[in-house]
Amino acid sequence: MNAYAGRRFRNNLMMGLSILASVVGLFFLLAILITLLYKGFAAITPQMFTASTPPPGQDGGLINAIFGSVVMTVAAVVVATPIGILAGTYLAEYSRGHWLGEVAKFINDILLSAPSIIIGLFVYTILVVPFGHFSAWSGAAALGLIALPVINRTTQDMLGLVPNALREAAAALGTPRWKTMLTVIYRAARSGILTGVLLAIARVTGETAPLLFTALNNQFFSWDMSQPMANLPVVIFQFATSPYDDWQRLAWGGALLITVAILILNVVARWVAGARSSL
Amino acid sequence: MTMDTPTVPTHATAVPPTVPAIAATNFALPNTEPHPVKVQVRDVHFYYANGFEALKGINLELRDKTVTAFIGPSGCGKSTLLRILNRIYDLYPGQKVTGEVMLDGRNILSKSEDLNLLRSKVGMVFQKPTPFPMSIYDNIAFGIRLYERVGKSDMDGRVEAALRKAALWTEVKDKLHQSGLGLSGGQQQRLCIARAVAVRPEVLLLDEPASALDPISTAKIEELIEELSAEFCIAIVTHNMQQAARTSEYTAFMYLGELIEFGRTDGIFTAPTQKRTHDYITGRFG
Repeated sequence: MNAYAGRRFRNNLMMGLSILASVVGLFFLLAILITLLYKGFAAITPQMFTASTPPPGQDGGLINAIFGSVVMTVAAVVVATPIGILAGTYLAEYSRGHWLGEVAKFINDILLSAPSIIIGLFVYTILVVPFGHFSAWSGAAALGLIALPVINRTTQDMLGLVPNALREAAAALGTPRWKTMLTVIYRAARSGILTGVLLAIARVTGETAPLLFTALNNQFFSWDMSQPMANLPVVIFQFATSPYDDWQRLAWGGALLITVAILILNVVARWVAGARSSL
Repeated sequence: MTMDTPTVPTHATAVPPTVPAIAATNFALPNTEPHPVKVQVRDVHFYYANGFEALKGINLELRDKTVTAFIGPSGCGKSTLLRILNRIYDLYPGQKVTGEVMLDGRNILSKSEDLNLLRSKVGMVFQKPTPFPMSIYDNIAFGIRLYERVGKSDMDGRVEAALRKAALWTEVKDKLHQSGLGLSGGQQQRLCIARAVAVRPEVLLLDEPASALDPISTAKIEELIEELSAEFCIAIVTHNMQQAARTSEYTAFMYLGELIEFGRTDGIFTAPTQKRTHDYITGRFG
């Protein structure tokens, strides 16, 4: 009886500590979200989606920054996705045991955890300095370089989850290897790879540091990819650190927008990953 | 022991159960057996990438339109032997085979062998059901489309025929376009068998096809094997002695990479010539 009491006490103690740790963690998360919602909602106006960033003291919105973020993210992901998926396919399926594959996997993992400011500096050196000015292309390139290792790694992981039995079963029917990949293996890993792409988009959406060096900012609405382009993270950075109340309000609104966008991407990614079993 | 004496049977037909099984060194069965030889395995050695010799000179033959069972304790090489017959081991670099495997008199171990063509003739079903992540219909049509251009109505007929052959048609005919992954384990395994027979192979390799299934599904698979043996040359690996006895005409007992005894199933199970075979089938080891 006594032994049970001791066990129950230790169980309750550990349970209590675990709950405490969860509460502490969740408290700060909630504090951030509530502050963001409170300040962000107050800033959201229809004008935010129609007008460009204003000079201090005037009315304005964020449409140039929203547009810039979307354009650069899309450009980055459109290029990074096929490269990432193909590289991940090679590393997971074709380079097994080869030293080149092992080295490439290792380097990709380093790239995955590289601070984004270093990616920004790198792109600054090769795409901004030689051309003499900041540009949306270089911003897209920096975001693409951040998305690439994410997509590459998730593709590797998702292909690794496809049971070998499926490869053997396809081969046992006399299926050529390329056809096995295209019709069976990709299909089995499809939702996982798509989830990786969505998470990569979520990751680059909030990146600020690499854009500071590359796309910089633009006060006006711009279509020109070879010129500096406004984007949400840099606008938030500049406006939030400014002394003007109206700029700070817009920064909160932009922060809420980004957070909601990332939330939606994550929810969609979860939904896609959950739909895996259907087909 | 009459291990080295070639058994020349005097009975012309219907071999009685008392005929001694043929010892490992004599891979040829008496030529009075009713069905022609389909696959001949000659002095096959198999080495894994780490150099381990998993098969140490196997000689045996598979007869057309019969079932041959490979039995033996885990790790004895029976699955390895099966995986040589369609060269699926080729997927893994570093694994090596020596010797000859003749399929209708042609050595399939030769370097020039077209593996995809070979595998279309030698189908395989694995221990765990492996339906592809697509509809039931497409699971069957997938293999057919690899080799033939078939119109829609012909394809419908081929799919139905394959599913009927695998005794699955009545269970799935109303949901052909639902995912194959939604079927039960036993149904999935029959789907895999249907997929394998749909491409009209000549040899069917079954690697413990029922070991992951419940008794009712197992009974269905065994019934199916018996029906399929009217059409194909079948080799089955099994851990289940009763299953080997029930389904096969010939049995090969393997142990530690060697073929210990090979002969008619009734002979092996009633009068094994080797002590190790006797010990294994009576459950004394393995």
